[in-house]
Amino acid sequence: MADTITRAKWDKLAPRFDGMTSQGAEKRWEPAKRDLFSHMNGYVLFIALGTGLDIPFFPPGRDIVAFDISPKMVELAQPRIAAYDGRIDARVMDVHEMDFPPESFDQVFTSCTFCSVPNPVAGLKALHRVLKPGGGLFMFEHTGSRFYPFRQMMDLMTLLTRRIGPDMNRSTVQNVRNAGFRLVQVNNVFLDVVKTIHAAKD
Amino acid sequence: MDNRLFYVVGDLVANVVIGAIVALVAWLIVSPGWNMWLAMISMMALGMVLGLAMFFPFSIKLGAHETMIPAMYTGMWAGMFVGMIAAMMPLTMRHAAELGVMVGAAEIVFIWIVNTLLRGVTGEANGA
Repeated sequence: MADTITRAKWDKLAPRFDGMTSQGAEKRWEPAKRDLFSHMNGYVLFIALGTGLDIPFFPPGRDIVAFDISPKMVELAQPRIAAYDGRIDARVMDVHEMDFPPESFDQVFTSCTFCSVPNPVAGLKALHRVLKPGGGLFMFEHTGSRFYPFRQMMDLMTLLTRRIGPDMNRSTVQNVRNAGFRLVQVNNVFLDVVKTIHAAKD
Repeated sequence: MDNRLFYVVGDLVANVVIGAIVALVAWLIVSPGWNMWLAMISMMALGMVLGLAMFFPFSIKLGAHETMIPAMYTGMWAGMFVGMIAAMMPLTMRHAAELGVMVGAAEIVFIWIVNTLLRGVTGEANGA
């Protein structure tokens, strides 16, 4: 059954999304994102596409399937998809209901995704299913912190941010492990809150 | 820390401004005669909330997390510090604002130091 609550939340935010993130977060995170996406190779799955703000950071000439739960987001992403020098097959889909055959993709990339997926471990297990053995999971995510007082701050913020968008206190690294992946590298970008995660399916 | 000049200066300005505003709010509310502990705790909580509210205009150019966490931290300490002093002795408006500026500058330096210690490849992939 489609997650209509999450879809409605992101549809509502879609028209304001670029204004909120394109000048600040995306520019600040650009070097770390470019570095992560430079690993794109083979047949790639990218979730969640959003309005396509990450597309300019993709290396050219890649073959990418990208999806988002929000039809409005995918609609707004079309100009960036058209401008990409490579192939992006954009779809509307829920990570919990992916219809790809098992072991379809060489790599899976996420960008600020698992702060919002309602059941993160189930979502990551779904990614594990569609990834080929030996394939890589590459994530750019913000998570909770392990340290005082940042941990408590992120818990407090989540009470507010959850209503309009993401959670701020997810244990994404542990969730990746719990979904059956082997961690290859965790790289902190800002404190231990914004990070890149590289994991593998053995 | 982020060594791009725009973000170094932007982070500093954001925290100095937030520190000064929180300090002035605490100065307006707390006066000598307040219980010092009550002033510290209530202004700490109010400072955190104000910091969380004020981060948004700065985040449009400086990024969400890099603004939100320092803003809350600055608000918490500026509120607590100025609330404590305002409960103990008369404080001029200018003195309160200067204390807020100093707290804001000190907090962003603290965040830069902690970020320098935490950023980079972690040992989590090896079970740390």
